Amino acid sequence: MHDPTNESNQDLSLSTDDPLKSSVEALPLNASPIESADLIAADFQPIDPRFIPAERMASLVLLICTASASMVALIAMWLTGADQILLVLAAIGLTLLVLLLLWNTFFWPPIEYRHIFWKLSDVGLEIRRGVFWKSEIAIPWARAQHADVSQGPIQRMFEISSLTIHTAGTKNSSVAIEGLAHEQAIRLRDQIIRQRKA
Amino acid sequence: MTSSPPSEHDDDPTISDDHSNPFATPSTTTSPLPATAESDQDKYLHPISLVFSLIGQIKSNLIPAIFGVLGAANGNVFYISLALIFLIPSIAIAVIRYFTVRYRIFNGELVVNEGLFFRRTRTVPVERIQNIDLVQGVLHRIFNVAEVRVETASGTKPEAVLSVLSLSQVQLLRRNVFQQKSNDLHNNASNPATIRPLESAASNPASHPSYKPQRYPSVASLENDGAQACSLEDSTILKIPLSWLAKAGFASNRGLIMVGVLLGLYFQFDRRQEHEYDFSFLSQWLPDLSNPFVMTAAVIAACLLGLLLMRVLGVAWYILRFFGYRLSLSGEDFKISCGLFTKVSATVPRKRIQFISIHSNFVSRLLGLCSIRIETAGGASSENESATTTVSKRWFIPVIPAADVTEMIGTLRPGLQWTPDQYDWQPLSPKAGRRMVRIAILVSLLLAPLGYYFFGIWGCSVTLPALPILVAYAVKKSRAVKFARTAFGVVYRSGILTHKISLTFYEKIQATSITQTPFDRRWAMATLSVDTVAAGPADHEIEIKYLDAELARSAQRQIFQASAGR
Repeated sequence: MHDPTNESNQDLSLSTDDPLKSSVEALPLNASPIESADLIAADFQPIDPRFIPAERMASLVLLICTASASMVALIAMWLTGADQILLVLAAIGLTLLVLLLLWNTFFWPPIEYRHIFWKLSDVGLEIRRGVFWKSEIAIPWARAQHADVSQGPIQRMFEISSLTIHTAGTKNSSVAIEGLAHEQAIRLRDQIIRQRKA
Repeated sequence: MTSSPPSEHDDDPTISDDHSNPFATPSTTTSPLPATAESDQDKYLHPISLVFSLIGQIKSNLIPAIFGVLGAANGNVFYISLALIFLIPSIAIAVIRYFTVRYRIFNGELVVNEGLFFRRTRTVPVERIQNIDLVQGVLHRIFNVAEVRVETASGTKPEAVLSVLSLSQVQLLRRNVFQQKSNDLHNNASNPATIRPLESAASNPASHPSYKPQRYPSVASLENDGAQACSLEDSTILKIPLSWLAKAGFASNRGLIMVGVLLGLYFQFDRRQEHEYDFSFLSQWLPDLSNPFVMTAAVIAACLLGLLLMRVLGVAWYILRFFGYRLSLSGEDFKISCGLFTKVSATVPRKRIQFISIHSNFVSRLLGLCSIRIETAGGASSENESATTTVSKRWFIPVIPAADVTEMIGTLRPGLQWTPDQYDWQPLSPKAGRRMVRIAILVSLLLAPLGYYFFGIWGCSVTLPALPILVAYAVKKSRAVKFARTAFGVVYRSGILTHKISLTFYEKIQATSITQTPFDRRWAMATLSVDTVAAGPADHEIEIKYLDAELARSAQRQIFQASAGR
């Protein structure tokens, strides 16, 4: 149970332009109910940087599928002798779509990464995320009902996973953090389970 | 560890694991009980449930059934087959259901078997059963049976529905369940180590300054004599006289909804059947409408008649639903019973109350009345709302004089001082009014093309009356919304015509969140939301938009810390 991620996290500068971030003071850490002290941080920490390549890989799959599908569609239109104007319009539209997906693949994941933070304190878990639409959710320890760790195939390649925390609530009944280092996610989950049993 | 004595305040369904997971394995501390002889055997539903099941089946396919029957009466083969398609499976399902549904209490669990091809065995540990609610329609009452809903804290619908059992079966079931429950209480009392320190700290009202020792000694009898648990004496808290119901019905807009339903039904049938009704015979009773004065008088009279009809329908609805309303406290459980034809009795454990909401509309404020709604853990979902949930959640107290609210809230939550005038109310951002006015102007301008589309060039003029109304509404609304952090929890008020004040408690708050849209950031605003269990039925979720961002952030931080018990 060593922690390979914390070192890699340290050198990444936190985005200080985040408007939600500036006003948060550190919480007192006395009488911590959390055993593994290295999970607790006085301030928000970023998720694992391997989130970026994993997201890129996932978007790349989508990009390749879309690009090849549009190629097939365009060729089919050309072969069936569709109207010239229609063909050009379709080509322009699909090219724009592919360009958008290209941007989504290479430029969006780092932006997204810079806007996801989590913090574990003796009070509970806080997650803030969102580039344009920002949200910040705080769940007290005692309200976490159970937690799941899930990993897709691409996430498994990069050894990261998503942690989902369930509460008894209505709208925020499950809150997920994507892109935690797998070992860290497992330890966090165990921590929450231990919390429940304590 | 699953259900601690009610005198301890750690039995909070919202945070203890025994209620959270419907699939959880039964607790290991469940002790095998001296099960009574009759509870060992499988029991079937009451035979009359065949009829009720069939009625229920037909009800759920009401529209096709009506068309089928109407068409079949004309001898149309298509409609006859349609009717048969709906009828035969209904009968089959009813018969299969009757012969396959069995239940018993065995080894501390209520076991319900059902299904012919896909057998399903549902096991509900008795100590997790929160309510055994009854619904009795007119037919049920004739046959002395009732629909039984077994509710746990989990999920959005009753854990098991037994439709229908005879009243003696219900008595037996209740006795078995509550006997079992009280035995568990004994086990727990002798095992104090099972109380989780963190959670009891988080949920213990003693940590709040407003806490006072409970006034209700009846809990003691639960612990002293478990066998007597089901026969605790009730102390009546509230009885609603007919005059209050009539006033509340008069004040409510319920009649409008009913008129809408009737109109909808009328048009539905009118179109589909393409019948031409001849209303010309009515004209002989009508006065000469070509005279403009007579015409005006007739229109005014019709409007007044319509209004009166609406109010009368509202009164009728209230009386039908809440006739003989009685709220009583038995131990730590509130019991409600009401209904003129369909009699409903529901149980609401005090500790499951998550959220209390006081509503009063314009007319009811003039009459000095309001209603109190609550939200409880479990069983709340607007989709499959049953009569019991309607009464126990949506309409906990349908009408109460405004002067009695303070006392009633003190009863719902012992020790709570309800003094809304003294709370530190936080308004919306000072710029909120301006922002809402801008939205109002935008909406009223957008109305112009819409009016043009429907009524031509003169339709654009809808903007003229809409603009001042919408702007005034926006200004008023921005001033009406306020929230306060108090010693016990969060209080939120809103509304211009219909005033709503809601309160929830720190130990019931599941999550707090702040969201900011790009527009919010431009105005330096944020939305603060407070999530509780099964939010929604009280129709007043705590989601406060257009708050000043700094205020929202510090409020969220403080609510978060308070809800974690510090």
